[in-house]
Parts: sequence; C-alpha cells; structure tokens
Amino acid sequence: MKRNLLFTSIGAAAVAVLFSASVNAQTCASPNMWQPNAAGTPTINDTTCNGEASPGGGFCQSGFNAPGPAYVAQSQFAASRTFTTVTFTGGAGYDLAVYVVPQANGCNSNGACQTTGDATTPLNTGDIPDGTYYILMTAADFDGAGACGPVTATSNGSFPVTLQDFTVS
Amino acid sequence: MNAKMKVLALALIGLAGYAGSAVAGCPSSPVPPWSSTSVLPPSTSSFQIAAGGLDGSACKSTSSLGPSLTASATVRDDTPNAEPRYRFQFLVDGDALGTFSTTDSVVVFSAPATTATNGVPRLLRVSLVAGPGGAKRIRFIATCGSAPFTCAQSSTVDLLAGTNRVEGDYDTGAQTFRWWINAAAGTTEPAADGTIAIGDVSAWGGVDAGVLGLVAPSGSFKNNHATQPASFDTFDSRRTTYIGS
Repeated sequence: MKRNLLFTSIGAAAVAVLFSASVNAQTCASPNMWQPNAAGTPTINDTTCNGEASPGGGFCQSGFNAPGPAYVAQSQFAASRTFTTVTFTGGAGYDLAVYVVPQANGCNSNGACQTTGDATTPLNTGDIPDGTYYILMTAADFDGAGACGPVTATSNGSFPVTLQDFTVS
Repeated sequence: MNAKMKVLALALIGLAGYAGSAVAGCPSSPVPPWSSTSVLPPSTSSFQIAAGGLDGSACKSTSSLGPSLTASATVRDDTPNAEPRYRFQFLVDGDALGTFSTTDSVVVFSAPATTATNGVPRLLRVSLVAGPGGAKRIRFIATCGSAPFTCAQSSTVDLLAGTNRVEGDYDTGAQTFRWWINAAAGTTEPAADGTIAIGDVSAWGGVDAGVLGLVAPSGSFKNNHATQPASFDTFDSRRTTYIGS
C-alpha cells in the first residue's frame, strides 16, 4: 500500500513535469531548448499566447510589426543536421509568422533576422547556417494587437540533437 | 525652393528615342537617366525595361530576384545631395508576384543617407509586405533619431490589383515622414495616409540618393517568389512640392 502510494506520487510528479512543458511560458528568459532528433521528435505543440511580450519596434529591424506575444524556441544547428525543412501550423485567433534570429542579435530586440517562415512557408536547412538561433513564433504584421493562438512546429530531422546536460555518478 | 530634382519617367526616356532598344520604343538601359544599376547574384536576378508602361505609356521597368537573401535588382539616382527634405513618388505593380504569405517581404525603394549613423546607412526603406488572405501592403521603415533608430508603419489597406501609386515626404525639418498610397487624383496635397515622427535625424545629413527596385528579400520571399517580377514606372523626386497625379 505504501509502495503503491509512492508510485502514484512519482507518477503524478511525472505528469506534472510533462504538463509543465506546455503550460509554462516559452519566453526569452526561458525558451524551449528545441533539438529534435532524426525522427523529428519532439514536435512543438503549444500556444503563442503565453509567450514573450511583443517588442515595440517589431521584428527583423522593423521589417515587420510585432502585434502579439511570441513563443520562443532556441535551437542549435550544426553540420551533422539531418533535417531539410521545419513546417508550421497556426490556428484560430491569429496568422502565424515565424522569425529566425541569430542568438547574437538578441531574442526579442528587433535584431536582424536570418530567415522567416509561416504556415505556408517552411524553414529550409539551406537558409540557416550553423549556429544558435531563436525561433520566434508570433502573430503576423497585419494582425491586431495581442493576437495569438495555437502553434505547431515539426522538423523532418535533427538539427542535430545536442547534449544539454549530464551527470557522472 | 519649388525645384524639381529629377523626373525619371521611363516613358519620357522611350520617347527620346534611344538606339539599340531591346523593346521597341523603349531604351535598352535605365542608365541614364538613372545613375547606376545594381544587379547582384544569382544570375537570375534582373532589372529590365519592358513594354507596357504602368501609366499608359510605352515602357516600364521590371525587377526580379534570384533565390538568394543577398540578391538585388535596383537602379540608383544620385541626384539628391544631402537633401533635408525629400519627396518621391513611383508606380508599382506586384501582381506578377502572386499572393503573399505572412512573412513575405521585399524592399522596393530606399533613400540612402549622406552619413551612416548608429549603424543605419539610410533614412527610409519602403517594403512590400503581406496583408490578410495573401494580399500585399506597403510598409514604411523610416530612420528616426532615437534607438532603435527605425520607426515603421504598415498600411492598413491592401494594394489594388495592378498599378498602385506610392508617394512619400521625408522632412528632417518638420521631423516627420508622411506617406500616401493611391491618393485621389490631383496635385493639391491631401491629408497624408500616415505620418511617422522621426525626431532629430540631423546626424544622417539628409537624403543622398534614391534606390528603386527589389532588394533585401525575407527568407519567405526568397523561397516563394524567386524570379517573379515587380513592375515600376514614373519615378519622380522633388524637394518641397507634393507630386500627386
């Protein structure tokens, strides 16, 4: 009985951790460190509504308005990558826009973009040199203030997977 | 002060009767009256003179980009000389670009500054951007005097199918950039469609050139619209007076 209770507690904790991945805001301070494997796992299936507040100056050196919050992923791309495209879907409430910004240009500071994508335009591997980038998923230039909604991002391969942390015991 | 800096209407060039025209009745090159052209790789980037002016005249120019983020197909007018006030107008037809996805964007006009300041070499960029449902709109990105040194507005009205008339007035004295899109016919200045406060931009030293044509595509534009042309015609720039039609 005691052991069952312990397992139940562990299970509940695991479920809580799983849920936290989608409930927590993915912001510049705590981006989704997204490194899909060769099978494209994990995908992103979340919302932009809890993301980073829109920068006043816009995106891509003011090339686009920033009317809504942005879901922030951070990814490292290297030569051993296997992906060729990353595709996106948006949903009700807004029109999805995706801005890929080199880490050196800042997460949400209207820095120059490397490339862009949207619900009908995938990111292409040839447009993203090796390096670390923020992938900002947000509302389109023409959307109303505060526009946001669901977003999915799916890679057809790895960026590649990188080792984020390990412990020797 | 009512001086007209230059009228660069391709139709007028065609009537002047240049030899070696690639298109009957049209000049073979945009230089002159433009000062220079800049067509950057890939080789499928192109700035050409074509038949069928947007203003009913014989000729227009077309600009298209090959599939590269650094592609360019522009012409440059070096007539402006540290201009504290710069008015411009051009006709643009983006129909051959097809529908726009939400992050499609490409610069169609820019006004380089006399002195690059704070890492910004220009005083104005005008871009084609997306509107709802695949439509196109115009975005004005004016250099302004305080960080981040760009102040922008997008039109809230979609461009018309076919020819659209774009006019702007960058005025360092009044510290404003004003713009009109498809203003009512006439040469009496109507209320601007939009105004951007630019603050003190004296450090840039005024407008020193005008650059017309496609450059600086977004990644989406590069992937969706390579080699598709935009058409331009009837460029005009002045110091003070409204241009109109």
